[in-house]
Amino acid sequence: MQISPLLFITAIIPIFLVLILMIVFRWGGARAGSAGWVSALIISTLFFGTDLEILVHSQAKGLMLSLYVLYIVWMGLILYTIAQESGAISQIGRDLTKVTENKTLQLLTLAWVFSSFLQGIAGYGVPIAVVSPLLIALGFTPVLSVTAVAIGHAWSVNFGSIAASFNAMIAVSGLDGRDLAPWSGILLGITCFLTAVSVVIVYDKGKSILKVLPAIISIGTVMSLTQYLLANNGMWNIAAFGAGALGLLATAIVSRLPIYRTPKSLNNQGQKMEQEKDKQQLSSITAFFPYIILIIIVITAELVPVVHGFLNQVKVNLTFPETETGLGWINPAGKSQSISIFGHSGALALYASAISYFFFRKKNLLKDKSYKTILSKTTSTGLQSSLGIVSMVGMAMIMEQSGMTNTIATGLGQFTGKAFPFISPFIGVLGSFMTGSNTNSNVVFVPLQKQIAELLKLSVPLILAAQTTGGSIGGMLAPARIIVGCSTAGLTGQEGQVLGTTIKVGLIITTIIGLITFLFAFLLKNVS
Amino acid sequence: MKNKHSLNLRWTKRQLDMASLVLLLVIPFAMYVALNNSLTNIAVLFLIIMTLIMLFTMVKR
Repeated sequence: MQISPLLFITAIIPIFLVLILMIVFRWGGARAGSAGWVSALIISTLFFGTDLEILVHSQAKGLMLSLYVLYIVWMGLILYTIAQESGAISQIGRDLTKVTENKTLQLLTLAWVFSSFLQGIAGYGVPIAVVSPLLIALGFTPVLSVTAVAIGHAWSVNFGSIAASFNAMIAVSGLDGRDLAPWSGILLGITCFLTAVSVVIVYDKGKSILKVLPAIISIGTVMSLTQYLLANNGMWNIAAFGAGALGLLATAIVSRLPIYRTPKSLNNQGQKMEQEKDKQQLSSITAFFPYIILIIIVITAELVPVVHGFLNQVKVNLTFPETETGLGWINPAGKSQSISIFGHSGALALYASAISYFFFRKKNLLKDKSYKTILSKTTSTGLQSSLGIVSMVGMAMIMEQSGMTNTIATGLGQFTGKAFPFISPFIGVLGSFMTGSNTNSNVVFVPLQKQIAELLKLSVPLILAAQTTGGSIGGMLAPARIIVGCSTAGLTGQEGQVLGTTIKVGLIITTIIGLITFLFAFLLKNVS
Repeated sequence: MKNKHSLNLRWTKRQLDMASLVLLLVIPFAMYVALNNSLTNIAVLFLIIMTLIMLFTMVKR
């Protein structure tokens, strides 16, 4: 299908509208998402021939996707509020300052390594919802805390969540995972280093980069190499998890180096004094209990086949017939996003919350009937962000089902020609930006990328690796995902501040990945 | 008196947010069911209500 420039510009209007409202006018996610939803509805109806049936199906699909996301958001918030009310969060903050006195390394440990480890085992939004409050407890500003985590774990998204995005790419492309793994491992490995450097630049404009460079190189090499080797040997399901686990081990070793245990900043001295003032009420094990339990539950539920099978028996989804727009865009018949009631990441966080609640009650760290406070705080934090997520996902689904998203991607491919390898990761970013999910980005755009790569006689595994790398990076600038982070950091309504930074960083990293993909594509073509 | 007034306003906003969220989660499913049972007019009505909620969320914040 040939895309006219006018149709391309029309299709891209809702995205620009959301970006301008959030970044320039500082609108919150709920307001900007609603404006985007209304504009997508009008444009799809007037210019893309979308009828009532397609609109209704798009919103029903959006509902299932929203529920999938909100399940994690709300349960993650409950777990965090329980930890906060019991005093565990403050204690974790105090404990983590003891690992290293170097503030930049503290930031990297949590925002880059620990969040990537969490991404390896848990799904959508969990790292950002869990780690951002920990950084705030350590004394970092709320905006930096959300921004750093959003950037820091972006490299581990593709092989994270038991490689959900990578498995989606295998399923949609019909190619062998062993063919796709090497290039994905290489591009994401490079992204691993770029995200770490970006976190430091966002923190202090790169002033401490030389000091933490040895740590970035050593920890980054351990993580990216582990991910590459595991994925290349058919173990892509645990590639990000293994990388994160070994990354934590490497961090523990690196933080013992003399250069990271020397001069204490004034800030740290202040914190020490504060520490002495506050009597330590919780042991470290008690403080980390909710997260230790969460990790144990997630690992058991995902990696033990019997438990995994048992928890995933009840799944809810909706079925849809084939539909066609006035412009001939066909939505194949199929099912919506499945929600496993008892095996979903949200359910696992709920189990961890219940166990933690009774544990803290038994230790008298939570008052009688404190569940009322916990539910009230969770509701006030979760409401605004939920409205933002529902409207953003609703907009994304209208755009996808009406063919607007495909028009943008096809237009990008069509207008760029030989420079397509450079543009390829940007298409992945677009998919993640729209849906907040690398998996959805792959489902929507892998067939298109594969088709264009074959037409231009480019290496399909390389182009698909660029697509999924872009999809991973795109998570850091997806409004739906930023809203999740802001909700737990008390920044609801101020998502534009975070998005303003992550969009710059995300586009710079994607440009570098685009240039590397272009170079590899050029070399592969000339060598063969 | 002033504090009491602002407290009431906050509560109302929270109730409105909760109502909007519940409606935005219920209406798509209601539209899906209506369309599957050939109740096209009902589906259109729900789509109009959903649009109004979105406009309300956009303006009233």
